[in-house]
Amino acid sequence: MAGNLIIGSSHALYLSEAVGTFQANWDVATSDVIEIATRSGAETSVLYALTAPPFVEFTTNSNGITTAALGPLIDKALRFNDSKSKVIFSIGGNEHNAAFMYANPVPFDFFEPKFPEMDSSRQTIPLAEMKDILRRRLSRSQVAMRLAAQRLPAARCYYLTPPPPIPSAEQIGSQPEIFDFSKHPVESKFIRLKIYNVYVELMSIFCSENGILFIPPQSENCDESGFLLDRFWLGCTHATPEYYSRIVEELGL
Amino acid sequence: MHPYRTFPDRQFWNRAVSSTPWADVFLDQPSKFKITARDRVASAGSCFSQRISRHLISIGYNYQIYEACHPLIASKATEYGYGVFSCRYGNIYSTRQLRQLFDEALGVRPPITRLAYLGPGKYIDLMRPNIGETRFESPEEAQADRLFHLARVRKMIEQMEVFVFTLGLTETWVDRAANIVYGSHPGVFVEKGNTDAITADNLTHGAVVEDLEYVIGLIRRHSRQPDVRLILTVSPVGLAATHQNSHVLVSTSYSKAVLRAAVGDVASQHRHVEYFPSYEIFALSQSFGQFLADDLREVNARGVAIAMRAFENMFVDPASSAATHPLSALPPSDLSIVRSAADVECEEVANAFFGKRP
Repeated sequence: MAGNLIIGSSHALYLSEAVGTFQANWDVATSDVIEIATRSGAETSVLYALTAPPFVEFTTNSNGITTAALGPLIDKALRFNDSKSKVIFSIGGNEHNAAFMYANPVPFDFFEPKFPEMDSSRQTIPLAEMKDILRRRLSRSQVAMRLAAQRLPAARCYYLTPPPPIPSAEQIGSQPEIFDFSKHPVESKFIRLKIYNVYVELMSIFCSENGILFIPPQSENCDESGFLLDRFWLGCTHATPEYYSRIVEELGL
Repeated sequence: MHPYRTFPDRQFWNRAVSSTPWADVFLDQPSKFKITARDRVASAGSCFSQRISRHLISIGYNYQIYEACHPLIASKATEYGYGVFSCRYGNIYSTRQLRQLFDEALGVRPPITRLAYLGPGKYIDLMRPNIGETRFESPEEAQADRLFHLARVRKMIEQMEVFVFTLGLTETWVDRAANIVYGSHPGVFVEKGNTDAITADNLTHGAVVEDLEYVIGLIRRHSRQPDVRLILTVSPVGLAATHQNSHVLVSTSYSKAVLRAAVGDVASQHRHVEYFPSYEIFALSQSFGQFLADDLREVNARGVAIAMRAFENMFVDPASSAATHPLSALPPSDLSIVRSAADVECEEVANAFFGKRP
């Protein structure tokens, strides 16, 4: 059956809100594909994937070797394995925030070509090391996407990058979501932006290596530096559904 | 009564040398001051001083790392050259280099940025070319790291209570027009760069004394510690290569003689500056070369252990809890120390590798 599927965590839900309306309780949201009543009339669904996608099970044996296997939930998505289907991944969209939203106790900076300014009062970490750190954090999500994409070879698979960082520490502090900024302040906005840029680069490479179409940040929704424009701010890491409107239109969701 | 009658045994050859095991000869060397377990100790210098810093850590001194590896990449500290000295400056061979570094750190002169481009994503800071195995990925990264490094050196100067500096060489490379001194010739690291402006310089006794007095003055002016003390040593490790038209042994002899004499002169002028005789322990003919490595240039681990025991005897405050002597109970012939010898980074060796490049 042809149809569109959005697989991902919280960012996927805001994208889905841009697509239409849907209702589900927690049990349904974490165990089934949710149908969206779309504004476009397209048949689009969302599979809420949390941070660790529930359709991939990781097992580590006594020798320390970890293997990944698709769990039963992925079967719910198999009906989208159709040449007319579009599958949009937004899995692992908060890995960079989970690691770098808090200011590191030892302030650091790194050279990132898109934002070459560096603060020399902070300790320098080589760019290659920052990429390694993020690459390790993304590995589980990437495995999940790779396995899922392999099960849906007929569909056109996309990866939607999470929205760019919100520069305002005030906005972040006022809507901290899962973070507790009473103990650790917000990381410098420039560091968060650089981290985000590295994240985007790594995911872009991953997508090109795995036949997944890469959807970059929506540049018209960013300021000159690359931060999310304030009219799209939502919580401390998310963008409003309006942020995704052009993507929804272009993909026909 | 002539004055010799009042002198202690160590001042007489027949009592202190002729019948004393070499390993014990320097155990009676007096010092003007002691180091306590609380004293913040920092170090810099040539290859040999890496061994001193490692030993100070191993025996529980309050050895300070003012520029530690960032926790995010802590597992790669060695790879990036952290933890070798108090700051990430690599080996500092000459007094002129130390003076230049301190001038940069304290804002006496602007930071020096001299990078060697080795290829895409590979830049070397020529002021500290061997700080680990990896390279800077961009000029911006190298520049930012250098500025951060200099800030840490400044903090070290302000906070350290004991500074151990090991003088290694008198031979340096100088860009006179830019007033920049290099520890290693840049051509060693970059083949195609224009290094015509860089010429050889061999520091004289007067120059070394001037440098040391200058550095001591800087430390005294900028230190926040009223009782900051300096321990000067001369590396017993010979030159890997000489830029003088001379046999490397003759150049080594000159270098060490100049350094030893200069350090002696300077130490005698300051109550808070002391000389530690590591050079004598290894290099005097009375040692029969027993503490030299197979190449007769490097030192062996047993010698290092003996030298460190002498260091402890000379400087450790017996009342201090840091005065544990893990090595003092060790028989001088214990080969386990030899087996545990650690490799010491030494970019000076690079000069030798590349033969006769200017």
